[in-house]
Amino acid sequence: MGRFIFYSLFFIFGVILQFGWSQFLQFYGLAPNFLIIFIIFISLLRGPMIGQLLGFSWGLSWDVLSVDLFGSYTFIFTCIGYFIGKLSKKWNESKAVTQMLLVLISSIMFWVLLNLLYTIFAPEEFAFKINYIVIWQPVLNMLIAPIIFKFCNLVIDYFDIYSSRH
Amino acid sequence: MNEEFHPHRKTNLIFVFLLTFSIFLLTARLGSYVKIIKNFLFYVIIPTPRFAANVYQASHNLSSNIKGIVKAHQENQKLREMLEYYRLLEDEWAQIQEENIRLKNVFNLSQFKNKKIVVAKVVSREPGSWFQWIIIDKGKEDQLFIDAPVLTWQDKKLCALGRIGEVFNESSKVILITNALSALPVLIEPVREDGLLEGQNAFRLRANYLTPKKKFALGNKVVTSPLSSVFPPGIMIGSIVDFAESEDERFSSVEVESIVNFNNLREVIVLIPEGK
Repeated sequence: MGRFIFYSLFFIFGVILQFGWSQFLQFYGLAPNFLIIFIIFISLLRGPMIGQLLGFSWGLSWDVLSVDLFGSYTFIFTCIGYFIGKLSKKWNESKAVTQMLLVLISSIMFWVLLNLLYTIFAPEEFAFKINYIVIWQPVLNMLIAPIIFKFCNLVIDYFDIYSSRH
Repeated sequence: MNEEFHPHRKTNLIFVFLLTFSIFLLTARLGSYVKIIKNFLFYVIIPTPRFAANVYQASHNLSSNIKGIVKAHQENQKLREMLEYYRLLEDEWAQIQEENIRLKNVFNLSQFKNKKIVVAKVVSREPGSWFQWIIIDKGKEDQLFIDAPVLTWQDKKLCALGRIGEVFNESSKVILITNALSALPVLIEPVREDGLLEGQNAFRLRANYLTPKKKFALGNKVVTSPLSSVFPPGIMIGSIVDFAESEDERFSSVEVESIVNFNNLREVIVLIPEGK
C-alpha cells in the first residue's frame, strides 16, 4: 500500500514537473525531459515491471495533453521503462557515467522512435522536424541526470525510512 | 528455478499487453472510443498541471512580496509606511496600465466587425513541443469551436498565432502556425502573391508554391490571405528572412519568421463569429 502511494505521488510529481513547471524552466523552448530521467531512475532501481507501468502512465498523460500522434509517447515510454528495467541490478546505477550514458541513449531513442512511429502510422499527417530542441535536449538530459538521480535517491531513502517507522 | 521464472514471465506478459494497447491507440486514434478515452483522461489530468502552474505563479508573487517587506523594514516606521503606500499605488498603477494597454489592444479591433473577441490565458505548454501547441483556459463555455482563429499581439500589432485544435468545456488546445501540421494560405506584400505557409516546428516557417518570376525581397511582409478559411485577411504573420529551395521547380519558396515572441505567450484572443 505504501509503495502504491509512493508511485502515485511520484507519477503526479512527474506530471506537475513536466507539464506544469517545465514551461518556467525553459530557455528558448529548451528544457530537460524530466519524465525520461524519472523512468530510467525508477526502472534501474525497481526493475522492468514498475518502469514499464510508470512509463505507460506518463506516456498516456503526454499523449492526452498533446496534439501529437496519439499513443506514440505511451509506446515509447513503456519500451524505455521495460528495457532499462531489464538492466536493473546488472549495471551499477549509482555511477554518474552509467546514469548519463543511459539517459543520453534513451533521449536519442525517444526522438528516433517518435520519428519512426510518425513514419509508420501517420506519414502524411505528421512530419518529424529536426530542430535545436531535438539536438540539444538529449545533451541537457544527460547533464542533469546525476542531479535528478541524487534528488530521487534522497526522496526514496526518506520515504523508505518513513514507511518502515509507520 | 520456477520461482525466479514466474515474476519475469508476468513482467513480460504485462509488457506485451501494454505494448499492444499502445499500438491499438496508434492505429485506432481517430476512432470514437479512443476519442472518448482521450477526452475523459484529459479532464482527469489537466487540473494537475494547471494547478501546478498557478501555484508556481502564486509563489513567485509571494516571494517578491516578501522581498519588498524585508526591504521596507530596514527603514524607519514612517518611511516604511509611505514606501509601502507608494509601492501599492505603483503596483496598482502598473496593473491598471497593463490592463489598459491590453484592453486598448482588444477594443481597437474594429476591423473584426460581427466577431466576438474572447481573451484567454495560456495555462500549459510543454517545452519539447514549444512550437507545436499550447493549452488555453477558455473552451466550449465561451463558445470556442474547432478551427477558430487564435491571435496575439506583438508591438501593438495583431498577429496570427494558430487555430483551435481540440476544445473542452473550460479549456482548449491551440495548434500553433509553427506546428508542422499547420498549413495556411498567405499573401506576400507588396507583390500581392499568394502562397501556402507551412510550419516547421521551429521559429521559422516556409511559404511554398510561389511564382518563381516574382521578385521577393528580404523583409517583405507576410499576412493572412483572403483565401484562408480560418483567419480574416490581412492579419500580420511575419516577414521574409531567407530564400529556400523549392522541391518543385515550377514554384519558389521563402523562409518566413513570425513576429510572435513565442517565449512570452501569456494571453491570446480567439475570434468567434457573432451568433455562433
